[in-house]
Amino acid sequence: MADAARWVGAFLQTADSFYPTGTYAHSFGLEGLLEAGTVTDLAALRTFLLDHALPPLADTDLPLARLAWEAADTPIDWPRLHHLSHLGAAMRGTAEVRRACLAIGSQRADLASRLHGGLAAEFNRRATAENWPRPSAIVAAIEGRTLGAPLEATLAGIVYAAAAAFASAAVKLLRLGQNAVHTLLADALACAPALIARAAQKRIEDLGTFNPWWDIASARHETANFRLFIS
Amino acid sequence: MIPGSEATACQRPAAPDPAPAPRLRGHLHLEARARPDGRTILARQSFRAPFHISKPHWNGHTLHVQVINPTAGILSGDSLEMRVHATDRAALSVTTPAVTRAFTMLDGTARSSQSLHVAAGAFLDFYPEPLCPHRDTSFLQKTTIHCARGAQLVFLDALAPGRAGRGELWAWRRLQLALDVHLDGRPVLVERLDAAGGKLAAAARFFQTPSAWLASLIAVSPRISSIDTLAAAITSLHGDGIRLGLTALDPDLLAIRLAARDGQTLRDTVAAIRQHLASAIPHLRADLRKL
Repeated sequence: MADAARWVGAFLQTADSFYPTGTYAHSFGLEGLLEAGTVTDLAALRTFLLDHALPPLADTDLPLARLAWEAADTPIDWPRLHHLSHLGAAMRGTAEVRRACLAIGSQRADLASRLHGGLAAEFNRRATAENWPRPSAIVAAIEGRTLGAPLEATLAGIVYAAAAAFASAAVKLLRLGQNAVHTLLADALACAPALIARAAQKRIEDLGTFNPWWDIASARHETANFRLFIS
Repeated sequence: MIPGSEATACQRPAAPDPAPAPRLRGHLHLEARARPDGRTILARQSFRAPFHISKPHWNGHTLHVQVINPTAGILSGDSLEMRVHATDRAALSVTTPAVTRAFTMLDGTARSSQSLHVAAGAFLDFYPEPLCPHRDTSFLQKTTIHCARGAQLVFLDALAPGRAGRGELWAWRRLQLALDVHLDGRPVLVERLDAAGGKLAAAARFFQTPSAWLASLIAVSPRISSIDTLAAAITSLHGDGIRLGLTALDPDLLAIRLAARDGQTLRDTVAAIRQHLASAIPHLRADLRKL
């Protein structure tokens, strides 16, 4: 209990909607799918989130964060963290979503460095000096390690951040009530244990995903005449 | 049995158990090099069944090599390895004459490894016909591309939903397609498709293209993303029957994804994209005699 009291508060702060990471400005392709006529109501949003958006986390961000978490154990494997940072960027299939991931990661890394120092500060110093990309999943792992949060909590936090980002963007794009969105968010969070378990089986060479329809919608969003969100 | 008489069915010796299908471990290694007069030759070549190549042909822009599979397709247990190097100033086109069929596999898996290397100043056009996975097939393919800064590449990876003409869609057992693209030694694109046909069928239905022919086209050329008119021209091909998205993952790299309602629409759109790309990559003006 005493251990949890040391990290839970600061960990919740990183997931707060007014933690200034810029996430609120992104829909991560959802606005493009709305424009394509794919996600137009709550039922379609539910299918998109539970069947297409969250499952790939077990092939991308969750195993990536786990590997970064392990590399950040003492003695810290900086070359491995460097490689994972580039891999995390390369797994994003469109420029817009890649920029979103790296912008949010950079902002989180700067904040974690300023607020908590330690490992987060050293990671940020090296990444900035050597021009590493800072994907949000890698930064989440570094942040969790710095705060003393356990791996499972860090990974569950990644699931929460992804699901909440889609949910909050959906509220602005679709006619949805808050209760309906929070019911969907609760269902999404219930997937976290299975996603984390699946991610634990992944080797570094298996990491990655492929959804051409989502990529096409995101790519077309990059040059759309009207956009509410940056991505 | 009386000599000369025909044996009845019950008298015939039992047919021997069918021999297990031969498992092929084929390879294709090509190294293209530019001669002093500017023409490209194959400095090295090595292949073993099921790979075979046509006689290389200089078409005025590239050396054209057609890769042929004399077994008509990929069978359970097959293991294929392809390595293609385009060295300094070489210009090489690699095509196939027909779709690559991954045949029904009652058990087991077939594997393919493709490795493409393009040096600075070289050009590689990798333009195969689509992969067509048959019912219950299990096919794993890993493609790794290494481009030096200053290289030019056009790479196509196309996937049919199955034997669409007979209504067999998304019926494969397992399909794993991995693509790693490295530019100047850094990973710039990592994609992994690993799914049973049913899973992709559900995705295709949800994204409103239930019989989609899918493709990724990667174009690498110095500063290609800064040619605004090029991106706009390609993006304008999006429309009835074809979804197309273009994104610049590096100043030197465009990734173009396509979902087409049928194979002919995909083929026509890819041809149109290549015509537009030829403004930045003149080697694409070569006539590869594709229909």
